[in-house]
Amino acid sequence: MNDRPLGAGCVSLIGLGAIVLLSMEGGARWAALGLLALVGVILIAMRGSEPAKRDSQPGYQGPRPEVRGVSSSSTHRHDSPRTTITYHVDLSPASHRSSPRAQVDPDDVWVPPGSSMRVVGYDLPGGMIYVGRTLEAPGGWSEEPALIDPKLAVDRNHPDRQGEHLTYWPTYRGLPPASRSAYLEWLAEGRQDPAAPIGYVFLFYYGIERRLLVDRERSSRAPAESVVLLSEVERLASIYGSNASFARCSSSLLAFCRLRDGDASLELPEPFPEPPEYLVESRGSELPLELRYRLGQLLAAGRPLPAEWALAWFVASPGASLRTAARRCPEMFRRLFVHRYRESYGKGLTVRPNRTRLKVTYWPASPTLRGDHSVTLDLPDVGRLEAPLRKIGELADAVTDELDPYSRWLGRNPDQGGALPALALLPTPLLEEAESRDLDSFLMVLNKSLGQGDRTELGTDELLALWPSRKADRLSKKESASLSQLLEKLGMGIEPDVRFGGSPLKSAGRAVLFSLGDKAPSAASPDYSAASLLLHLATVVATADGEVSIAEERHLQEHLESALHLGPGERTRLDAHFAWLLADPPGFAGLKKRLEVFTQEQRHGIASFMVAVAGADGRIDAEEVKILARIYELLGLEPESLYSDLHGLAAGSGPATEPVTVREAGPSRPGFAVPAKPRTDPPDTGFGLDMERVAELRRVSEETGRLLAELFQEAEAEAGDRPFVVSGDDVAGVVEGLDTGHSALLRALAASETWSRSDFEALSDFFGLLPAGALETLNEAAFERCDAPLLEGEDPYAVDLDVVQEMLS
Amino acid sequence: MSPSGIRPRVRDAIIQSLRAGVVPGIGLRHIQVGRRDEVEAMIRDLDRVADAGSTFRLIVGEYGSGKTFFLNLVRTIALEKGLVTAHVDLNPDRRLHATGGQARSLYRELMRNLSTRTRSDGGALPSVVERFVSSALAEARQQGVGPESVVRDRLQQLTEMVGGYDFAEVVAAYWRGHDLGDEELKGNAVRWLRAEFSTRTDARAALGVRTIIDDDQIYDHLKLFARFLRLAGYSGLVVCLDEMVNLYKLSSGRARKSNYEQLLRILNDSLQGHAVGLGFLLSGTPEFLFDTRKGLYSYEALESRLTQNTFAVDGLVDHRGPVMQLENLGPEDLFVLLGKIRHVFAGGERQSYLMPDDGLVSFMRHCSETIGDAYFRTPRNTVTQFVNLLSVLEQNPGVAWQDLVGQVQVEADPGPEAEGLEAEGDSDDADEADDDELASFRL
Repeated sequence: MNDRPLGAGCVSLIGLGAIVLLSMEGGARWAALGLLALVGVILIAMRGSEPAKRDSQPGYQGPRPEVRGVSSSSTHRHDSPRTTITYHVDLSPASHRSSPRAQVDPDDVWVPPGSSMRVVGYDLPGGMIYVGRTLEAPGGWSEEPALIDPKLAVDRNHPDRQGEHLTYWPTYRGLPPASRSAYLEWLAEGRQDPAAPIGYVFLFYYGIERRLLVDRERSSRAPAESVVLLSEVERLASIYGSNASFARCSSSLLAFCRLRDGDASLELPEPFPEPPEYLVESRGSELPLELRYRLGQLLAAGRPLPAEWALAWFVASPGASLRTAARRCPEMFRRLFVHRYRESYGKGLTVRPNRTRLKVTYWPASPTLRGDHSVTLDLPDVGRLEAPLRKIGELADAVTDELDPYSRWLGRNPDQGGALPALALLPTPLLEEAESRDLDSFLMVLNKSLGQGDRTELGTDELLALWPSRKADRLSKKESASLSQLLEKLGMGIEPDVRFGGSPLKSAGRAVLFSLGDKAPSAASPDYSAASLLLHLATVVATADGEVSIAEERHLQEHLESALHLGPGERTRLDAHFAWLLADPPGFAGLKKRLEVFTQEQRHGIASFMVAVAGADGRIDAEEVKILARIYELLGLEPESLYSDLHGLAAGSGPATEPVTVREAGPSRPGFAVPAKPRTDPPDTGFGLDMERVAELRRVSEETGRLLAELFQEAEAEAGDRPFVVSGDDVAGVVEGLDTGHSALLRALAASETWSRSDFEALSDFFGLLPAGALETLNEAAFERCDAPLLEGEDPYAVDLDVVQEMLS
Repeated sequence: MSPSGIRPRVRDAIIQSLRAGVVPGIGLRHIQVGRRDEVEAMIRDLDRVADAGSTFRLIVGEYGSGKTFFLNLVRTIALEKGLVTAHVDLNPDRRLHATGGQARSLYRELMRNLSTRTRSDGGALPSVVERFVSSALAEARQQGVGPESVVRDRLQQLTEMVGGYDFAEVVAAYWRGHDLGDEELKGNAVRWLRAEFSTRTDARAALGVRTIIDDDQIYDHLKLFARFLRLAGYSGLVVCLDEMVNLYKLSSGRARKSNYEQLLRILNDSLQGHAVGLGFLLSGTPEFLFDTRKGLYSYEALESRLTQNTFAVDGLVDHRGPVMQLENLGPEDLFVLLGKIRHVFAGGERQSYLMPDDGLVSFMRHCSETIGDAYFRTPRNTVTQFVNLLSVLEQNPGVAWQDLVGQVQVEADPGPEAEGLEAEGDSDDADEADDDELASFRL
C-alpha cells in the first residue's frame, strides 16, 4: 500500500465536485457530507492511519483485463425536451479532509462485462468488478468498497460461506480473509448461489451501482455498459429478490436508470402495460419508482386508473397493510378487487393530477455513494396524493372483509377449499369462476329439479344427500344456513330457510326451490316475519275444512303482501313459503309458544284477521269455527269473543254481494302463478276484510315481527343444537371478574401458549361465547388484574401464561 | 410489570412511529413531556364522561405544538378508564355535515378506528358488539329465555332515540348471524353499524331494516352508540376529531357554516348535559378558532361559547373553558423528550442507554446550528433524526456517538402541505363568492 498515485480524473473530479456542491441544496449537502464523513470515520478507524501521498504520475493501475464483447456504441438519450436531469456527485471539498488516496481512473481497474479475470487463483467470469490496488470512492475519503485488491490475504481453506463476519456495510478490504475467499468463490461460481449471504451480493452490487451512477460521468466507456449492467441487476434480483432490501434497491435502481437514460417516455404507451407484482412484505418507505412513473403518466393523460394499477398502488404504498384473508388467498383477493373496483369505478378512478413534479431519487446501497441522484420528470408525483389512495384502500378493505369468511374456512380446513360449505362463503363473483366437482353435481341436481321453471318442490332427501352434515337425517341450523347461502349465490332460494325463520332441513320432508330475482333479501324484515306467521296461521285455518280453497289462499296472500308493503323479493319468497306450507303442512306444532309473546292488542288483531280469512270464501262452516276456537284458545282469548267477532263479520262487513276491490288492477305480478286446478268455487265470490284492522295490523306488525325470529329460534332449540351450558355446580371454578363461560374458556386457554384463530373460535363456540367478545372480555379482565393483556396478536393469538397464572390464583 | 419496564411490542411501535414522523398509537405515556395541568384537566373531563356525563374540548395549537400527540395521549388515558375511543382526521372527504356522503364517510372512519383498551389500534367494533351479545347470552342462559329477547330488552331504551329502533334490529341480526353461522349476516350488521351501507334498499335486503346511518344522522348515532357502549359494559365514548382546520379550509361558505352548526349542536348538548357518556375532543390551529372570516369565530353562536376567559392571561391559564391552548414546546421540553426516547429505546433499562445526557445536548446544539429554533418548535424531524441516530448506534456498537452527532442531517419541517387537497364532491363550490359575501356581512 505504498504506491498511491493520483488518478487521471482528479482535476475534472474536483471541478465537477465544486460545481455540483454549489448546485446542491443546503440540506442535501449536509446530508451527503454527513453520511460520507460517518463512513469515512468508520473506514479510517478500521484501516488505521495511512500515509497520504500525492503523485502527478499515473503509476500502478491494476491489471488490464482483456475486453471481450462489450459494445462500444452508445444509444442512450440523455435529455428529452421535457426532462431535467441533475447529477449530484458527492465530493468533499479538499480542505475538509485531505484525501490519503491516489486518484485512479476507474476504467483502469474496471473489468468490463463479459471479460474474465483471474484473481488470487479464482477464475472470475463475466467481469463487472473492480480489481486493482486502489480506487478512490466517489466521496473521496475512502476506498471503493467493491474494489478487489488482489494483494489482500485470502483464506482459501476456511471460506466464510455463512457470511458470519459480514458487517452492515461490507467493503472488500474490510472483510477478513475467510470472507474474502467466500466472496471470490461466489463470484467464481457465476454469482448465482441462492444461499449466498446477501452481504456478498451487495458488495458486488456496490460496484455496479458506482459504474451506473458515477463512472459514466468521466468514462466514455461506462455509459455504453448500462444495458448489460442493468440486465445483470435484473438477474440478481431474480435470485435474491426474496431479500426485501435487495429487492427494493435493485428495482429502484433499474427504474431510476431507465428513467434517466431516457428510455422512459412521458407519453402514454399503447397498450398500457400490466403492473409488476408488488408484495406488501417488500414495500419500502416510499412508492416504487416504476409505479409512480406509470401512475403519473395516467394522471397526466387524464386517463382512469385501471384496476390492476390501483391495486398495485395500494399494495406498494408505505402505509398499506393486508390482512390475513388477502394474504392467504392472494389470487382470489386480486380477482375480487378487480371485480369490485370495476363495479364501483367502471373504467377506473380518474384522479386530478397534482402539481408536485415527480422527482425520481435513487438512494444507493453503497455507503460511499450516498447523496442525491435524481431526475425530475414533467409528471405529477402520485406519491403525494392521499385521497385516491384512501378510496382504493377502503375498497381493498371491503374486499378483504368479503373474503374473510372463506379465508377462515381455509384456515380451519386447508384442503377443503372446494367443498360446498366453503363455496357458500365465497363472494358471488368468485363463485362464478370456481371450479369444484361438488359444485357441478350440486348444480346438476338443482337444474334437473328446477328445469326452466321458476319454482319447484323437491324431497329434502335429495339435498341432504349432497350436503355434508354431521347427522345423516338432518342438517343443523348452521348447515342449513350455509345451504341457503350457497343457493342464494347461485340465484336460488329455498323454503324453509332458517335465515327467514324456517326450520332446518330434515329427511323425508319437502322443500321448495325457487329462482330469486334481483336484490332478493337475505334477511327477514319485520314485515316479512309478520306476513309469514300470519300466513302460517291462516293456512292452518284454511286447511281446516279439509280442502284448500285456492281462492281463499290467493286473496289472503295478496292482501298480506300489499297490506304489509312487501318488496318484490319478499313477495317471491312469501309465495314459495306458502307453497311449502301447502306441501308440508306444519300444523299447530309449536304455535302456542310462538303466540305467547304477543300483547293482548296484537292478539286481537291476529284473531280478527283469522276470522276474516275464514270468511274469505263467503261462508264459515262448523269445522272452521272449531279451528278458530282452537286459535282463540291458543291466543288466550275468550271463546265468547270469537262468537261476537263471527257475528260482527256476518252482520257488518260480511261477505260482499259484489266483488270487493282487493287490489287495484294492474300489470300482473311477475313470478309464479298458482297452478290452475279446476275450482269448485268460482273465484269471484269475494270476501270482506276489515281494512282498518288490516291497517292496524300493519301498525303493530313491526313489533310483532321483531318477536318472531325469537320464536323460531326457540322451536329450533328443541332440535338439540343446545350450546354448552355451564351448570351451577361449576360455580367453584369462576374466576374473579369473569362469568362461568369466560372462566372456563380461560382455563382451557391455559393449555397452550398459542392458539390459531380458528381454534380459538371453536373453543369460544364450545363454551357458548362469541369469539371477539370473549377476547375483549378476557383481555379487559386481564388489564384490570395485571395491567397487561392475556391474548395478543391476531392469528395466532399468543397467551401470556404469567397473566393466566395471576388471574387463576 | 414494573412501571419503568417497557414491553417490546410497545417499544417497537413507538420507535417505528417516531421514525415515520407520526404520533405513536400506543405507549404514549412513556414519551409524554410536561403539560401536567392540561392532562389533569383532561382526566377530570374523562371522569365526567365515564360518569355518564359529557365533555367538549377544543385543543388549539400551532403546527408542531403536539396537538395530535396530546389527542392520542388523552385517547390512551380514556382507554385506561374503560372508555371506548374513536378518532379521525378530518379532510375534504370527511366532515361533520354534508349531503354527498362526506359525513357518513367521517362516521365510517370513526367506527373503523373504534378502540378499546384491549384493541387500542382500532377495529374494535365487532368486539364491542360481541361483548354486549355475550353478556346478553349469559343472562339468557341464566333466566332460561331466548338470547334475542334479552338483546332486545336491553336495547329497548335505545329504541326511543333517533335511529335506535333499527340499531337494535341490527345488533339482533348480528346475534342471529352468529347463531346461524351466517358470516354474511354478521358482516352486514357490522357494515351497517359502520355506516357502510349507502342505500336503504341494500340495507333492507341485507338486514331487513328500513334505514341507514346517513349524513344527517351521524351525531345522533354517536349519541346512540355511546349509550350502547354503556349497556355493553364500557363507561362511554370519546370521539377525537383531528385536523379540524380542514373545515376552515372548505371553500364553500355554506358548507363551512353547516359544519359549524353541527359543532354548535354538539357543544350545546355537552354544555346542557344532553349527551350521556360522550366526550368530544377536537384539535385545530389558531386560525381555525380565531379567524373571524372563516374560523369558528365567524359564527357568532360559537364565538360566544368559546371566548377565552378574559382573566386567563400572562401565564395564568384557565383549563375549565372548552378551549385548551397548547403552548409550543421549548428546548427544555425537547431535552426531556429526547431523554425519554432514549429510555424507550433502551427498553426501559438505564444501563442500555446509547448515549449520555451530553450526547443529547450536543445533538440539540447540532440541530440548532442547522435549522435554528425550528428544531424544538416543530420537533418532528428532530425526533425522527434522533431515533435514526439511536438506531445507527444500536446497529454499530463500535461507533461512538461523538462521531455521529455532527453528521446528522436534519431539515426544518416545511409545515403542512398546501397541495393535494382535493375539493371533489364539493357541489356547492359555485356559491363560494356569494357565501363569502354573506359571511362578511354577518360580521
